[in-house]
Amino acid sequence: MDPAIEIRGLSKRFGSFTALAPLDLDVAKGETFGYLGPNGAGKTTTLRLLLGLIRPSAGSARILGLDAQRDKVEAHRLVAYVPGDAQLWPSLTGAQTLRLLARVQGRVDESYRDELIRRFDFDPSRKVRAYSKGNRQKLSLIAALMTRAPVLLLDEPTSGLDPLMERTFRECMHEAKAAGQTVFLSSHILSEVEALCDRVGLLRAGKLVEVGTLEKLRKLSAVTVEAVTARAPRDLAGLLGVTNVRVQGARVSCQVQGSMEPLLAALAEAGVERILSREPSLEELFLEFYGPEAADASR
Amino acid sequence: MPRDSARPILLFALRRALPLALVWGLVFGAIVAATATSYGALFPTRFARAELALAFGTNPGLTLLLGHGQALDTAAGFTVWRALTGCALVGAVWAMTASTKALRGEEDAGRWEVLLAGPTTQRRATAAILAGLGLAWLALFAVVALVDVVGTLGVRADFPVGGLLFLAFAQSGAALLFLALGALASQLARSRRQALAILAGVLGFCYLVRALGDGLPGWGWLAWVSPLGWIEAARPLTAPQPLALVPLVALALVASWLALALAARRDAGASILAERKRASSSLRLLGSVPAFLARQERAPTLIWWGALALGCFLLGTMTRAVSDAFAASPLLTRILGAGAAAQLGATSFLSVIFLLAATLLMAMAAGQVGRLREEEAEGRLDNLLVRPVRRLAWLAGGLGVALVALLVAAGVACVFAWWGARASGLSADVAGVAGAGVGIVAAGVLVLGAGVLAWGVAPRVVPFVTYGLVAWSFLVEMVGNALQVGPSLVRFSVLDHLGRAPQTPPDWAGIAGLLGLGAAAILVGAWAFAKRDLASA
Repeated sequence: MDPAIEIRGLSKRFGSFTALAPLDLDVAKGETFGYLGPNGAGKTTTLRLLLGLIRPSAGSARILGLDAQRDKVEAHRLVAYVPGDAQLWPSLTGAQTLRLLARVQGRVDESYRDELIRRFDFDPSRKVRAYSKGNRQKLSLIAALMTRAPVLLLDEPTSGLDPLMERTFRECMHEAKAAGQTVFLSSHILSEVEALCDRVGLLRAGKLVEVGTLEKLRKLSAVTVEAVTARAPRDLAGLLGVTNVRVQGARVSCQVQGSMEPLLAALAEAGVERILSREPSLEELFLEFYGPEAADASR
Repeated sequence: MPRDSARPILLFALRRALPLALVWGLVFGAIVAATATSYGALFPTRFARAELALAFGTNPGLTLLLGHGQALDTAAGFTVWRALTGCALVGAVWAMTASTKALRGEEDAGRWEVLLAGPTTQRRATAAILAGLGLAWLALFAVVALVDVVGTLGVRADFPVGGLLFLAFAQSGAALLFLALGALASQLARSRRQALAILAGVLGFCYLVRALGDGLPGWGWLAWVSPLGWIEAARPLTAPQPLALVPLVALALVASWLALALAARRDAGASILAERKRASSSLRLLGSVPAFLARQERAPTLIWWGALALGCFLLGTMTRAVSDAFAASPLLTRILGAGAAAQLGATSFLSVIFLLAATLLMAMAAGQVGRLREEEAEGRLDNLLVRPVRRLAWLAGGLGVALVALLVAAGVACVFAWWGARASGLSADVAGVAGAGVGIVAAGVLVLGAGVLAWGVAPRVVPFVTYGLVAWSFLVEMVGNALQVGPSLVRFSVLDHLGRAPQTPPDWAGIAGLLGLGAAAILVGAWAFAKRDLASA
């Protein structure tokens, strides 16, 4: 893998509080990487470390081979960032803000900028003070995307956007991927991550607990099985890998991790009439990793 | 609204305003106590006191700065003269800052709407904030009164308790008024910055009108136009006039009532002054970081330059009157001769003008560094630093713009003070005026340096350091050696190092020291800023 982002032992402490435990992570060039975690897990801290806005307690990060702290100005020429809640200059108009940020970045695709303004249905003549949160977020997105930077760092980029604009954002991300741009996407919108990301990293309390493709994560997780049988089945809870068994008359539901063979044999014995199995959605994976049981397990 | 929902809002406002209210209460009281108890030692004989009354009471420059001195041959008269105007000004600044922070500042930050989502209305929430601020003012008054009374126990005969309570009320009266005016400005303005600009203009106007009324022969009525004139006319301890403060209390009540009425009428987040939602589409000064910083500073800088030009010109036009007053003084004419006495009057008055200009330049520098820090605190700086912009380059751009603005401001002060004096028929020494101009730039640079140093090391205390330094220097200059806090502490006053140009040659060593210290503080602060994490508000 040719990494666009390389993170080695990167950590951040604020006094006695560990915001990010030593993190090792690679994101390949052209990859769209989803970075998930509950509030306060350390997602924004990771992004601020990558941007050199805060200094690491240990470790290092490189963006396209450039050290995120030592060579940050050079690295920033290759990066565009969208914060979750953009704080912009209230007395400037949208057009003035785009002009300023374009000149500071030093590179902008003006025709793409105009296209983005049209696609996001954005009025650049109004003052930032008069924009709603959604419009401020659109401005921030346009300012980042118009640079066509090789690496996009996005922190909750669609917060405040309506569903139509969310769709436009997804289209832009598909275009970015087609153009070979690398995207590091921190998001709470699981359907968005599911639709856009090649791989996902799951962060909990400052620690990266899992990284992989959605496929891989699903394999790690239990499959949900629902069946209707002719007779009540024998004790399914005692079978290897079977959990969360619920039996209501002839209706059975349970979760299976690993081989399905013992469960299928038990259901066949009970005269299985109908059977349905499905992999977990990202939402279920998220709940599995961050739900109360997971929190208990981590304690 | 159930009474219970008003209480947390009231306590919130009180908790935020109380610490500084207590600090200033102690300082105001300490000034009275120190001046009153040291008077006897400083002027031990009747002759010394009579000489003091003659020299200070008839000095138009000091009258302009501090107001008319009454009964300066008594400890009470001297104390009131020394303490009243300075405390009133500092109290007004504290009040406008606290009031706009609790009201318009909360709206700017978006927290006001969260408050209004509770079981309250905008009018009731504003009333609760005003009540909290009122309690903070009461605490300020109580501390001033307590320290005034306890601190003058040794000279009780000259300082009756009733008179001291009235003095404490007069000292803190401007704070009461500007709390209410701050609430009103918070309804009118579309941002806290604009509210503060309005209030600074009002305070500057009040001071200028009071100064002109006191300083211009035959224009005494003008002082009655200004609340600072009412405070002066209250004459606590010497010839108390409680009725003089009735308009001040009435104005505070009217301003509070208006603030509540406007709060009831307007939408949350909106303002009475029209807001232009579509601004000029000009793209000038957006091509680079330094140009953008200059653009951001354009409006406040123009206001400062305008205020300095107007103030220095108007005060400059009074030079002739002061010069004539000195020439007419039998004592000075006998000692110096008529010509030298007139010259002394003109130069000493010009030095007072430059003292005021230096204070204004220091306040301007405090505002400049405060606005730069605000870019970081509010998260706007992130937008630039996530692009190929070095922190130090951004800071250097901001400080460069600030320095140019300070240099031009000093030039404006020199030109307009000189022009004002010339318009009054006197030709001021150009070299002396230019020397005074260099001195006031040095004062600004030192405040800039102190602010950058605080910013690099402890960013959240920047306003306390910079405005504290300005207030401290101004108060020390006002009460001078009567503070009796020791020469080493008085040397911390920036104004103490400028000399009295053009009355005397500039204190070049002191000025070089201020410039060197300011530059060193900027370097250390910038280094610390480059090394640390960005810090929000």
